Amino acid sequence: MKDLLKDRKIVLGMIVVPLLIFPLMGGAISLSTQSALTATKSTSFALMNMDQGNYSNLAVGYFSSLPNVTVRSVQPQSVSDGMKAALKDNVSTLVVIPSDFSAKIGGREQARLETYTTVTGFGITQSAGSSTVSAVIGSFGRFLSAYYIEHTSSGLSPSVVLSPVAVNESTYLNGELLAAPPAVVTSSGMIQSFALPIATFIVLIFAMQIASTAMAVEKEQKTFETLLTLPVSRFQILGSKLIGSTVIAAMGAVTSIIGFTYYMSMVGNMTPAASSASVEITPSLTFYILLGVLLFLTLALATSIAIIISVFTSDVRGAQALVGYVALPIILPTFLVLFGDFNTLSLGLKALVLAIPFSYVAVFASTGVFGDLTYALVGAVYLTAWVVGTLYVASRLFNSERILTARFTLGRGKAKRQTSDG
Amino acid sequence: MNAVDAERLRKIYGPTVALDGISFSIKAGEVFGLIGPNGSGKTTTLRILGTLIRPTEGSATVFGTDVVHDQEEVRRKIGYLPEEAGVYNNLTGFDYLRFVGALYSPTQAGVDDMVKQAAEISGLGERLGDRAGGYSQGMKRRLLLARVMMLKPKLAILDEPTSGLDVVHSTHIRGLIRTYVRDFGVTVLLSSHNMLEVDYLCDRIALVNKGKLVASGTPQELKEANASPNLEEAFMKVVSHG
Repeated sequence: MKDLLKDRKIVLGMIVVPLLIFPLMGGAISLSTQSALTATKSTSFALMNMDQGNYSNLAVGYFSSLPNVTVRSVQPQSVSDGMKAALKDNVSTLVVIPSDFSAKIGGREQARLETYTTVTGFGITQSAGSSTVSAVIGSFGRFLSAYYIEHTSSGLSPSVVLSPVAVNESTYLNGELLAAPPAVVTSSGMIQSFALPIATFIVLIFAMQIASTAMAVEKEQKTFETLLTLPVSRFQILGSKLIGSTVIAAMGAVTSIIGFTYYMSMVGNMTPAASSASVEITPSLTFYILLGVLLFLTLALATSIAIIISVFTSDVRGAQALVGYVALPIILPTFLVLFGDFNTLSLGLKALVLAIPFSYVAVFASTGVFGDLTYALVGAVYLTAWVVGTLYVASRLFNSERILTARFTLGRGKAKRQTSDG
Repeated sequence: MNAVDAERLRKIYGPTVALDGISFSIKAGEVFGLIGPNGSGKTTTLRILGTLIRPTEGSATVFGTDVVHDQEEVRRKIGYLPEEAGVYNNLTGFDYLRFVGALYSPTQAGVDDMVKQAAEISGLGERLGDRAGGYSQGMKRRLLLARVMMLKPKLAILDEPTSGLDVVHSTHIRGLIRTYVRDFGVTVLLSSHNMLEVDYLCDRIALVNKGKLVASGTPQELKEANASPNLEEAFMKVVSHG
C-alpha cells in the first residue's frame, strides 16, 4: 500500500483529480446555466410602433410597466432599419406593432404583433433570450383577455374565467404527507439518489483499477517472485493487497463523493424543480446501515475479481485493459436503474439486473428509500456468496504456481501457462 | 544434515519437460553452482527450492524441511534472488530494506541492524534515501543482493547474482559471498553463466543440460575429467556430448 500511495499517478489520478474534476465540471455547467438564467431574468427588446392608436399605446404602456423588462423605442421605419437600430442598442429582438393593431382590437378581431430576432449563436442564452420575449408578449395576451372580460359586463372576475379550477398538489412519501407536487418530489428524490449509484460506480472502478494495479505492478516491476519467497503466507499477501486496494479506493471514494456532491449542488440548483420548490427526502438509519453492508460486499467482490484478473496479466496496462472489460456489468445496472425506474423494467431485464451482483447498491438506492428492504437482504446474501466464491478462487490461485505462470492471451482467448526459461 | 537434498526432480509444463529427474545434495556451508545453457532447467530447479513452483515428481528438502509440504518454514530458511528481480520504484532503498527486515525481525533494533548491514553491503550510501525507481540496473542489483545477505539466511539461492554489475562491483559481491559463507555459515546455491565466477566461488558444481544433470564435482575435478584447461572448455565439452 505504501508503494501505491507513493505513486503520484495513483494519488493524483484517483484521489486528487476527482476532488477537483467534479467541482470544475459543476462550475462550468453552473456558469453556462447561470448566464442563461441571467438572460431570462431580465428581458430587453426594441419596440417599433407603426400604429400609434389607443390599443398600441396600451401595449407600450403595459410592456414598459413590467418589472425586469427593458423596452427600447425605435422610430417607425422599415423593419430592416428598425432591426439595425435595435442591434446598435445591443438588443437582438425587435417587436413591431403593425398599423392596423388598434383598429383590429377595437373591432374585436384578432390583432397581431410581429417579432424579428437576429440570431448570433446557438447557445442556451440565445434561445432563452428569445423565449422570454415570447413570454412577455404572451402575458400581454392574457392582460388583454382580462380587459375584454372586464368590459363585457358579465359580472365575472377575469381571474375566475381565465382559471376556473385551481389545483393544490400534495404527495405521500412513505406514508408522510408532503406539501409539494409529485413532480417536485420525484425530481428532488432523483437528485438525491443520483449521487449514490454514480459514486458507487466510480468507487468500484477505482477499487478494481487499484487492486489490479497493486498486483500487476509487482509483476511489471519484477518484485512478485521475491515477494512470494518471503516468510509470509500467500493468504496474507492476498489479504494485504485486498485491504490496501480497498483503503486507497475508499480514500478515492471520499474525495469523489465530496467532489460529486459539489457537482450535484451546482448542477442541481439550476434545475427548475430545485429552483422553484424542493423537498428534503431523508432515508431511515436502517437504509444507511444496509447500504453500507451492500457497499462493503460489493467493494470486496470488485477487488477480489480484479486480483484474480491481474493474476493472468504480466503488466499494469494488461491488467487495466482486462479490468475494463469487467466494468461493463458494473456500468449496465447502474445506468438502467439511474435512467429508468427499476420497478417498471420488464421481468427479463429485472432478472438480468439482479443476476449481476454489482446491481444491488443501485437497485437498493432507488427502492430502499421507499422502505422496501427486500433487495438489500437478497443482495447481501447473494453478494456474500459471490465474495466467498471469488475469495476462494483467489486464494486457490495464490496458493498455486499459476500465480507465476498463468497468462491470458486475447488472441487465443484462453489462459495459458508459461514455462520458466532457465 | 545437508542444506539441500533433491531427489529425482521432474517438472513438466504441458508438452515441455523442463526438469527430467535431477538429484543432488548440497552440504551446509558449501557454495554450490548450477551451470548450464539457457533453458537447461537451472531456474526451474532454483524456483522449486525457493517454493515458487512445485515439482511434478520427486522431492526436495532445505535443511530437512520439505519444499512442497512446509513452504512457509522453508521460506524462513532461505534468501532468494531471482535473475530478473526488480525493486519497488516508489519506495526508497531504505524503505524496501526496512519492509523486508520487518518480516524477519520482531524488534525494531533487529531491523535497524539488518538495514545498517545492507547499507554497507550495497555500498549505495546516501542513495538509499532516494526512490529506487531512479536507480541504475547495477544499483538495483546491489540493493537486492544486500537484501538477501542482510538476512544471513541458512541457504542463499542466487540466480545470476552479478548479472548487470560492472567488474568492480562483481568482484566486491564475490568477495562478500565468500565472507558470508566463512563468517556466518551461509550456504549458497547459485547459477551463473560466468565461468570465472563459478570457478572462483563454487566448492562444487553441477552441470545441467536439457533438464538432466550431466556432470558434477569440484571445478578442478570437472576440468580434469574433461581434460580442459578451464571450466569454460569443460562446460562446452560436456554440453556438446550431452
